[in-house]
Amino acid sequence: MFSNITFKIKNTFRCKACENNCEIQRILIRGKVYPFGGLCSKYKLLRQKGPKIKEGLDLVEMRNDMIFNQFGDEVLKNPRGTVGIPMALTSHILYPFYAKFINELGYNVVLSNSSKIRNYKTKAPICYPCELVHGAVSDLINRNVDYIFLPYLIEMEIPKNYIHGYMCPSTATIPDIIRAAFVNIDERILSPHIGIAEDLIEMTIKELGKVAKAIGLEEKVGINAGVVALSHYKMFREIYYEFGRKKLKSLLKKPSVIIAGRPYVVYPPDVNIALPRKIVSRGYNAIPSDMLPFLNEDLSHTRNVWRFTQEIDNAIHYVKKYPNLYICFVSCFSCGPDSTMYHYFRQQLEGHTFCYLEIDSHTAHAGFETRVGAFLDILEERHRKITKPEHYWKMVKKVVEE
Amino acid sequence: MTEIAQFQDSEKEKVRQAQFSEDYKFIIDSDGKKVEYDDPRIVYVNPEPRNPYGKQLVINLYAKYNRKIRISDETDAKVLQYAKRICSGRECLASVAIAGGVLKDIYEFRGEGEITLYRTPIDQHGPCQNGAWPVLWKTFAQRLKLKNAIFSTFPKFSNKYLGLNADLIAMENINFLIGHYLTEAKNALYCVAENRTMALERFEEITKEFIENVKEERKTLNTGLIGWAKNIAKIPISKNVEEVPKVLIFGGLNLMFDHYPIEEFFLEKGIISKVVDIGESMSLILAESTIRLGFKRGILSPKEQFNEELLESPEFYEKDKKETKRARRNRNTMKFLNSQCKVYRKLIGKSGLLFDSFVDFIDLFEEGNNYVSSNSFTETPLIVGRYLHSIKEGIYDGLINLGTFNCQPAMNSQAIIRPLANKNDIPYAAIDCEGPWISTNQRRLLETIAIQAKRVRENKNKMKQEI
Repeated sequence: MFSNITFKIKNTFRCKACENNCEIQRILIRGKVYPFGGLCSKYKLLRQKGPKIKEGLDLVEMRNDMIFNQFGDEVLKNPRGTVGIPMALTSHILYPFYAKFINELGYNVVLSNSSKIRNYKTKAPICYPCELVHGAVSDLINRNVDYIFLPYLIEMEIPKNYIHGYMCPSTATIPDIIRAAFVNIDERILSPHIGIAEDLIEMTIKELGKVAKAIGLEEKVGINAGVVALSHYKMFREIYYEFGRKKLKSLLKKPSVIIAGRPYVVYPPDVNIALPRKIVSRGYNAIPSDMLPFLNEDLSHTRNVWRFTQEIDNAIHYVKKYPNLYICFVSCFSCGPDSTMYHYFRQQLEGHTFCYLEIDSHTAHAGFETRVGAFLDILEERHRKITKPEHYWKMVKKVVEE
Repeated sequence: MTEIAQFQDSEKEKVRQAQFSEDYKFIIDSDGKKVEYDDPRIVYVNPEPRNPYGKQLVINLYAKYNRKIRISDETDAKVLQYAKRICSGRECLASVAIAGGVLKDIYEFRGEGEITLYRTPIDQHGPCQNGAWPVLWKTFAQRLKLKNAIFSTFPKFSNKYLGLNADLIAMENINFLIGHYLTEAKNALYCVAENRTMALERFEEITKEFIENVKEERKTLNTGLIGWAKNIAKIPISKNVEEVPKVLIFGGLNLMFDHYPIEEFFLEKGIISKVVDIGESMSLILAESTIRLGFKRGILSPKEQFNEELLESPEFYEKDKKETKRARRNRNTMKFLNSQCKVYRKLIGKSGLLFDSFVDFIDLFEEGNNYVSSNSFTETPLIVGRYLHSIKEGIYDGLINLGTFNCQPAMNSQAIIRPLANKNDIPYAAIDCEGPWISTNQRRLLETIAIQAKRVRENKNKMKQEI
């Protein structure tokens, strides 16, 4: 049947819908040109007949813009030098803090290109996010920065009802893993111990003072810079939560998907395999889980000890509370915290449609697309089938009014 | 891997879980009735495997206190098959093996009408996976729907040792420690005996007699071990323990579940294999509160964190009374544990078969801290410290860093040690197992280490002769 049809690639163009800038082919078939390709469903849906789907809101993109642009670094006119920050792991959470601290010390920030190459530098089988740090550090070395800022991040803020807000063991020890992997880098790595948890702030400030000393400044310069950077980060957090609160009110009216997982996996566009785009191009809103203020409804379990699994737990509470919210959570192969908490999440989500994905250095777009697509198909089917009773809309209305 | 699911598991048939009373003074069973801890229906279960001598000593010890305990056998394929019923396979081997041990106990050993307290080998607050074991087991318990079973329990000061007492818990750990040293002696005998079969038979007889004597209270642990060592020393050997090549198998908690095939492999090659001293991991668990206390105050080095003057200072106490008290208590327990390690090493050492030396945990931690932060609250610095110390000490002729799938501290230690090992002459291999078995490739790697270790020992012996 298809043997008589001639296909011809007329030309290609770069899609500007997101940072992935996918190459789209314009294929000529029987005199008609069809756009084809891309990581999301944008062009697939254009080809489909029927009513056109309006793209959802990509709050992940807005989040990244807030962290890296609105609250990111400044370019100083007369800097003392450059400090590189690897575009990996905790930079995707604490960039406003890191960048402000470096600027306050009088240095310009060089944010690494996120890099998937140089992963062969790893000295042991470690997880994908840690592999990416190797690539990012390698990029910074090539760019000849004066220092590389790679702290030991031990603990984040501890939400109410929990006893810890830990990072995982690999994130907490990444500076040493990097030191072991690269030759002659030791003195260039600045790695203070950092804890954003209330009882660790005093220690953190002390440690930031030591950083200043290590680069030839007075300790108090580092202490002052640390205080300023922390308050800058806190301001970002408050504004970000407030932004989330406001947005959520309008988003609850239509089906939305919360993307939950480690921020360094689910939010960077080159790591998340265009997951938010895949969701928004199908008409759903994509909400980052760390944008959702903690509900603190005393549902949490104190021994859920990691910050990011607490965020997932919180997202699940939202899903259970608001009927238009769904969750897609993403993990990586050999992620310790997720492997333990998975059972709890699964149990909490009983009766809900959810999607669980794993991303690794070998994850291919096609398989990922199929899985996300299947999840969204189920949501679509569900919404098509359900003739919503009156009380449902009353509930939605009530929630929105709240 | 992806899972898109609408779960059908019904939670309708909920079973009332047995639980501890709020003040931990008694148990409330699944029928809501109060049960005292000395109730004969109560059985404590250690789902993690322990060495056979320590295991027997501990069972007898519990009997003396009118308590019952079951301790798992070695982790094997069957245990892991059981685990598959509730685990996803993504968890670390320790999680999986413990789950398998619990299920095996439920299906094969648990008696009718029994109130079972399933214990966990450690109670750490993370960031390792074991930090969330209580959550994991709360979930599993709801799925298992088992009456009169409490999971993931750990006897400690704050829960009144779950109806046991501090002395019993201390003695339990000492007995496991003794079992560990007896195994060290047995492995040495395996390689130095004049007649291996006869020597090992005699070893078992003498050890059985020692355990029976302690059980029947004919002898104390100390007097029993003095007699044991005298008798063992009479077994004919063909060479000194010192002359024989030795390999240390070290790593994190996962060692408990998967060291057997590697230990056996080296023994078969005539190399004395030793699994790293369990006293070191016991100390790590006790150390957590002190590390955190110091860390909060910006004190980062282990030596300073464990500085007694600092811990005893009123300034420390006034700022954080509860935490300081806990840290002091644990520090004292660590000191007691150290003293016991030395006492029993000395007693068992009279047999002439012990070769390892006692090293203070804080020294190991300090050494490890030079390469990986000890404030990450994981085993990584201890593993790295152990490697560095073993290189300096020169007792061992080969070092095996045994990790398992999804054990982050073990994998991280492998990343840190690799470049250090490249600079040293002692043969080293990092192995990651997914269970207590080794692949063909791993076997080849171990063979290389075995040959190299023999050469290293030969050279050491030659040098000694020349001197």
